[in-house]
Amino acid sequence: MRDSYILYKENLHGEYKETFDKIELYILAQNIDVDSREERLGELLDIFISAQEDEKPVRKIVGNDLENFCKTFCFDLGVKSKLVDFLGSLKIFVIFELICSLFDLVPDPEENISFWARKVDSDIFLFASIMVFSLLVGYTANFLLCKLMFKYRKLKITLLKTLSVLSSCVCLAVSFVLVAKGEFPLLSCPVWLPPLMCILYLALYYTFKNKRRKERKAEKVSIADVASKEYTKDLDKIMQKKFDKLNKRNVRKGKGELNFSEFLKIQEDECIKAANMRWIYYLTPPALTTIIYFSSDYESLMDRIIFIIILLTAQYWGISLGLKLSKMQIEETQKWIEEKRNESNFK
Amino acid sequence: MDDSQLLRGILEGCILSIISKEETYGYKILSELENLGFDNVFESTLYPIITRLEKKQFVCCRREKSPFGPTRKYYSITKAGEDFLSEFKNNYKKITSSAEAILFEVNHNER
Repeated sequence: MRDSYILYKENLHGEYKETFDKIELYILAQNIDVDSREERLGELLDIFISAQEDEKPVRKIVGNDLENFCKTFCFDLGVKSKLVDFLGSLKIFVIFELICSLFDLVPDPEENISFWARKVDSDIFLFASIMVFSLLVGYTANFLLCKLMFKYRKLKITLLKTLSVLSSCVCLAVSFVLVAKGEFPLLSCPVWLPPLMCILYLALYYTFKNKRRKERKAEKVSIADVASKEYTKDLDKIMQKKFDKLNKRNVRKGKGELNFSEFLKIQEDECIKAANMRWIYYLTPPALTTIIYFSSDYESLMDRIIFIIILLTAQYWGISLGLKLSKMQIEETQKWIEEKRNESNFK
Repeated sequence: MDDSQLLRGILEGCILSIISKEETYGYKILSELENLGFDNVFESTLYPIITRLEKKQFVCCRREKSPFGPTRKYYSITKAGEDFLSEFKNNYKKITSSAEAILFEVNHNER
């Protein structure tokens, strides 16, 4: 992931935080691509924090008319930026459709039809229409949001954000329910057409998004680094709460209270135990997949294979992320224990 | 009187001149403009001007993490920018001396 400005927003307080939140909401509602958004808001955040440190009033940076500031700040946003955002919104769906349509390319051994003559009942057109319609509803909601947020100044930021996201989700949900009920027919098309459309779409998206690839690479931080920063920040509080909880439990059970080095020893043992038990998580996906596999029906061998591959991939991806985070937590806790031991030895 | 028309013409040159002194960044440019008397120049004005200068390759930028965390863009002037700035200063001198002569009725001989 990138080193986003969002990680540093907490440094703002008072009128700076309030003003930045409004500007951020306005820019989010412009439907521009992530790079442009990150660049603008990152620079603005840096200026805001610097001005806050110098104790300047926020109107020295944005002037007295926030609406005018936002309009001027976004004046030069081009069509290309909005196009990249639109294409990017459907990217995950297109990648998913590409994977599914590639499996359709595998011929059935019992069929005797040439590759170019083979047809498939594809849902790509249907789902593409649903996604585009949901996006349009979202864009309309964002447009109204930009108009309302300055006209009705007392409207809370969270309410506006929620309404915008909710409108798209409701539209998407209603569409999927109608599809599940069979209200929309599937279209028959050549088997090579859906993957070709997906590849062309992705080629178009990555061509437009090619800008600043090196800089984006340099700005990347791992999720573990971000989580580590957040975890370390609160580690003293977390450990203090644990220590108090353990002692309350001991007192309730009639045992004596722990001293701090005993508590550190317990935490160290827990870290070692957690590190040694991590291999168990790798066993969960095959077990879960087996249970789900035997409780479902499949039309063909290919369907079974696709199901297993997708389910296992999703589970292992989730588990590897979870294990990275847990490894980070164990390492940070061990560092913290070491630090506290060194402090007490020094005393 | 709304001075935005007058500002529009000279702000690009002023910002480029600030950048030409040393490598600098957005907040520092805004602060310097404020110290020099440009009270009504805000980030919304500065950002598009600097973006335009970058597109014309009069300034180049490098990205670095600021002391406060977010990525900060540091701007420095290019050769093309220096040539443009020199031309701008000559044009500015020519126009302002003529304008002064008209507005403040400075005698050509005294000049």
